[in-house]
Amino acid sequence: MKALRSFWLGILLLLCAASGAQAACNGFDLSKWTAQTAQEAGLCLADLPSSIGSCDSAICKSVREWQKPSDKRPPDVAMAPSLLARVRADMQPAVAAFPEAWRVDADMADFLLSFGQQTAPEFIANRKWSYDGAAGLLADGGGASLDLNAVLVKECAAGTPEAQCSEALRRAADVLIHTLQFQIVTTSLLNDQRAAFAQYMGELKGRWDSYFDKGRFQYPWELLINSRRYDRGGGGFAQPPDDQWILLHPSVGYRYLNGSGKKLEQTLLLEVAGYYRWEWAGAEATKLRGGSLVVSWADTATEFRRGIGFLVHMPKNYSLGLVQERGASNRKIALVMSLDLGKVVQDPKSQKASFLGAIR
Amino acid sequence: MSHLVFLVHGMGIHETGWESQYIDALDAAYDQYELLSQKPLRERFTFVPLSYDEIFRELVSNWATNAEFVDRAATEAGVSKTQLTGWLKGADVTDANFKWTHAADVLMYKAFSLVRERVCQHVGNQIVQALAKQIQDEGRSLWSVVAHSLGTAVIHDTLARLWDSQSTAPGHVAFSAQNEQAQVIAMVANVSRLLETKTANEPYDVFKTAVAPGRMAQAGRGCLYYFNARHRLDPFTIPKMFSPQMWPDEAALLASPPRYAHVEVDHIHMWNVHDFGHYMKNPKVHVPLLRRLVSSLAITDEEYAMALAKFRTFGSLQDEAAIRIRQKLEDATESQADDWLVLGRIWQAFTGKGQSGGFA
Repeated sequence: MKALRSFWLGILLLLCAASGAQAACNGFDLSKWTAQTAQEAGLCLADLPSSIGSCDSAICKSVREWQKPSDKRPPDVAMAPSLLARVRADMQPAVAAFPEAWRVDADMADFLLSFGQQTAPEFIANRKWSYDGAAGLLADGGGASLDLNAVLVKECAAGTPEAQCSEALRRAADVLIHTLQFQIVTTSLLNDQRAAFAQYMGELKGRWDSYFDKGRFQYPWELLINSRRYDRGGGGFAQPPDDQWILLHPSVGYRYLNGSGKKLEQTLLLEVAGYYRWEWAGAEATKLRGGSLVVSWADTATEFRRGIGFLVHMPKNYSLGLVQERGASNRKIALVMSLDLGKVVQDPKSQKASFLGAIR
Repeated sequence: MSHLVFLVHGMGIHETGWESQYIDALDAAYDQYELLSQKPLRERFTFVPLSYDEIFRELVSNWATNAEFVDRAATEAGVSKTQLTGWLKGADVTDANFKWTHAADVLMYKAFSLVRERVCQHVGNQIVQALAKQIQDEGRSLWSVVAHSLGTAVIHDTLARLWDSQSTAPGHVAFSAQNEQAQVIAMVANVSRLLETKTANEPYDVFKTAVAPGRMAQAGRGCLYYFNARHRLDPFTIPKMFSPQMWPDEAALLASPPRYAHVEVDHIHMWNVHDFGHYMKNPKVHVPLLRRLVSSLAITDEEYAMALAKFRTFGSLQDEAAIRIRQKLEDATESQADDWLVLGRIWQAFTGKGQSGGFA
């Protein structure tokens, strides 16, 4: 039994050792990186950008401290050129060991020369080196590129010694690490614009939520008409409208008729046509106003009455109006009040109470 | 930093946690490859679900509740004026209510520009905030999108807005196609062309927007790789099929790996060939996708050939059953010349002949 356990333990250790021998590219001590095949080396490079945050070399630490100062200030843009120059200087041994990387180095030198005279975002994008893990390609926006996978495929071809493959991997990784540092710095140069756009999108979301959640409820046919009328007013993400049409909009209201016991009675309302508009202040709609032509039906204790009149739409989704009612008895003017149903359907039982509270 | 993969669901109800079935499908494919799977999928990628279903559900729920409320009030008022809203009653029922839980999503998205705009802004805001945070934390971004069915149209329309060069939003340049490129945009069962809107007000032609692959920081190209997968018998992908020729240009197609890849499959493991998981089972779909997400060296040609050899076209189905399904699906097939209005017929055929549900 003991012999059997030792046997399986031995097998397990052998398996671990074998998998360890396949590829070792954990951590940032590149001297310990090894690979036997282009596939192993390619995966090591593909995973490198994901772990660059834990790079502990001096240049990585400098870039990280610049990008995320301990006092939570934004990166000091004025320091960027000298930092980029340090990244480039630190990369020189890597370039010396990997002659194909001269393009990256030359481009960085050119970038540093131009930087300061031209800091427009388009310029940064055009000159920003980045890594395409799928192709193993280091490339800049101008079309210059360095195919790291091609190097790995060549140096790690079947039959070549492991040392040759590992050395190619280490050289490629060294250039990649420096290029990623360059990219981190240039990406940070757009921090202000990025923050402004993220804030804009957050506010825009607030407006759209407001339009659908706090604006007047729309039935499908109203949504269709208002969609047809909607003018986006330019490219990109658009602002919500600042008005809406109301059409054949049934709702429930309350009528108050002098002499009918002076109490509120439920009535069915149909807004035949109407218009509602407002102004945006941040994510909030303000200065809401509008009105509708309305038809009403009510079954009172004594008779069935039909009315026609108007509603004035007020803030907080309340509407107030007058209808001229006809029934078995004389024509009478009734005061009608309504709540936008869409906003109270969560708790219809409380509609009357909240409505009364609002008009008092 | 981890590679962010935004997952975008298709039509239908998607409760919290819906993304796990997408991740599981990817994981099952990923785990077949020995060297690749030494690092678990969830370590290599951070999956970010982009949900928009709640916007449709909220609208439908409001319509249904209002309709019931009006109906009740009309009864109390002693009138029968509910023809307008009667058809909306029960729209919020989620069990076996395909018309409202699936078909209405597409209809609302296509017919109501206000809903479409809100959905795109809602999804776009999630992307922008996630990327801004990634850059703030890690100094650079690395992200991809995997979208399915209706999600392909949603993500196209969203990214077309994000990368619209006509946008005048503050700070937009930081999120221009040139400055914030995705690694991969993967479209599974792509209906973006079927649901596209290309009007003067909303000029987002799927073949002309920046949702197209190009080299690093290329102007007007929002991603490095665009991967398109369709099943030959998936009836939803046939009308106005996304199958461009020489798109976006020769250079992109000649790149290695090609920047635009179109894959067609015809395996039948179940009736619902539209299902995301069903697509992912096929090595012809998941190998090119994983290679683009990780590295072209991640899965060797030998591994790919072996996976293809092991893959059974009819899975565990008996030939007879598979042929029967194939025949039924072919009967449901529409013409490429048809437009989105034909979807209703497809749904009817699809739900009538097969099992309901499963539309991820």
